[in-house]
Amino acid sequence: MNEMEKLLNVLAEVRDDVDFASETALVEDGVIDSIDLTQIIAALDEAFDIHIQTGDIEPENFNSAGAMLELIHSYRKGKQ
Amino acid sequence: MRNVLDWLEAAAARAPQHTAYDQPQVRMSWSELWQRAREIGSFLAGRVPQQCPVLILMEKSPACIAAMMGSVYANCFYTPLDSSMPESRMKMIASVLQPAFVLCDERFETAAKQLVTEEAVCVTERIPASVHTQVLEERRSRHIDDDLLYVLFTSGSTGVPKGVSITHRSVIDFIEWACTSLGLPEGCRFASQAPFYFDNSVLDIYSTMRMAGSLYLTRQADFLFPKKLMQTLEREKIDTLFWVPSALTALANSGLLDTGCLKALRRVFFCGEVMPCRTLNLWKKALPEADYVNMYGPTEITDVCAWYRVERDFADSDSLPIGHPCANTRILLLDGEICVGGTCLSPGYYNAPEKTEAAFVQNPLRPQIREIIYKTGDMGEWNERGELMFLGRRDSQIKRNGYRIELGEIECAMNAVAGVEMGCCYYEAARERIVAAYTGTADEKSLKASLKMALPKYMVPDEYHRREVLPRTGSGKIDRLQVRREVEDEYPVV
Repeated sequence: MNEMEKLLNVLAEVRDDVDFASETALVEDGVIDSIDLTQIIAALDEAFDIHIQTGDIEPENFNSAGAMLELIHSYRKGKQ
Repeated sequence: MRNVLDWLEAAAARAPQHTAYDQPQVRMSWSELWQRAREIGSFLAGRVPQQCPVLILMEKSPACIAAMMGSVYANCFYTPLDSSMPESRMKMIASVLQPAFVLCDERFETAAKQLVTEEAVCVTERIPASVHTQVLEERRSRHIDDDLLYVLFTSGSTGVPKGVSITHRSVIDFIEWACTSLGLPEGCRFASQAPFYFDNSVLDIYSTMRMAGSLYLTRQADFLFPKKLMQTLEREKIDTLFWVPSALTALANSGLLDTGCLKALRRVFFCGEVMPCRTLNLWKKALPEADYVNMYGPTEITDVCAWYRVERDFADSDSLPIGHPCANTRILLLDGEICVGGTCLSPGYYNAPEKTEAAFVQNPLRPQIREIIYKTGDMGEWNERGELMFLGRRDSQIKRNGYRIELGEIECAMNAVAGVEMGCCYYEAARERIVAAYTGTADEKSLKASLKMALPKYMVPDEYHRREVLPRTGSGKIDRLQVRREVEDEYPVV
């Protein structure tokens, strides 16, 4: 399973009615709300063993699965 | 003063061009709101009798406020509904409320037509721009201040939401008290956090109307992103906040509050859940000159019945008082339970006389005369300074992000799912998680999916545990405390 598949599985656990693979304005269009976002951040922290900092909680980083994967990679490169 | 519309008309006369309610790309002035509300009122008056429920299924927007005020012009009362709640819960609410009419946005038209007959639904945008002055005057002349203004639905422990009804008189009394006691200036500018179906919005909407100020309808997405939220508050020159503590805590924890930020902000008010002193101290450090007021009150007493202006320092670990009763409000502690009476009191739960009788009771200390008090279910005590302190709940009601949730309503929904024999849930406050435990054959995933179809999102449990048995108390009820102990023994919280 590659990283994107893993991410999509994690996201599907939070909201199985959202097509995370193709949505590109999850936040801007209000597809996900504050409860979803809190759950997504907690799920990403756990699944990818990272700690997303408040400063990175920006709409741009959560508008699409691709953006979230980039954020995860930035932590993997030793950001923390 | 008998009608909240007197404020709207005064604001439209005094500050016609001044922004009333706005959001990005949408702005409605006081005169525009006045005009549109009368158009909607004229339309409704031609279709429904007086003092009928009007259900409002609209996005939080200036147009939604116009629909609310339009209902009032028809001398009806309004119920704003959370448009994201599942259809089954909407239907449950509609069966209690029996709305005479539904005003909706275009995107909710199909959902609205599931609730009432098609003729009783109208997309608000399509209401023509015509005012029938004579009809409106006739309706106005019949109005008394005891007429209902709104009914807001709140979680019910038996699974059916309760509609708290509130009269014009209660809102008039509350808002006049608030504007004076909180020192709101003419033209004040609020940033709204509360959804319109949550009673904290009553202070937002009507105190700005009373002071001919303006209410900025903050985008919900802004609350997810502290930087965006700070930019919004700066850009809009917001001078007053009335938010749930969890929203203020999120901003405080972002580390973005600093001396020199939010220069226009003068007043920070909070209500809806316990305010942690740690959060208060972070705000005070960044904005030492602002006024901080803690408020307390269930929906049944018109938003707020007690208040405490922060005048001394508190340690992070202290509890903040909820203070003193508002004007025309009586607060009693009966066996430690906070009971409230006065002008703020709701006449009861709409179309639910038994629920009303259980919670709205005769004051036992005044047997000589009929005096009704509301038993809040909150426990309290007076401290040595004579200030009221909140101690917690006596039942299984919880607060999550300010939302009032009866665990019993979640359990009812669980028990209705095929494959669940018995459901139980508890709230883990430290991690802000609702944990569900159940017996039966249903798997965790399908249970969650079913609950999403039955409950508003903020009520859906975060964690699921299938158990062989659920422990019971001596009286045969599920023992929530013991369930929690067993789950936590097995899955220790790190």
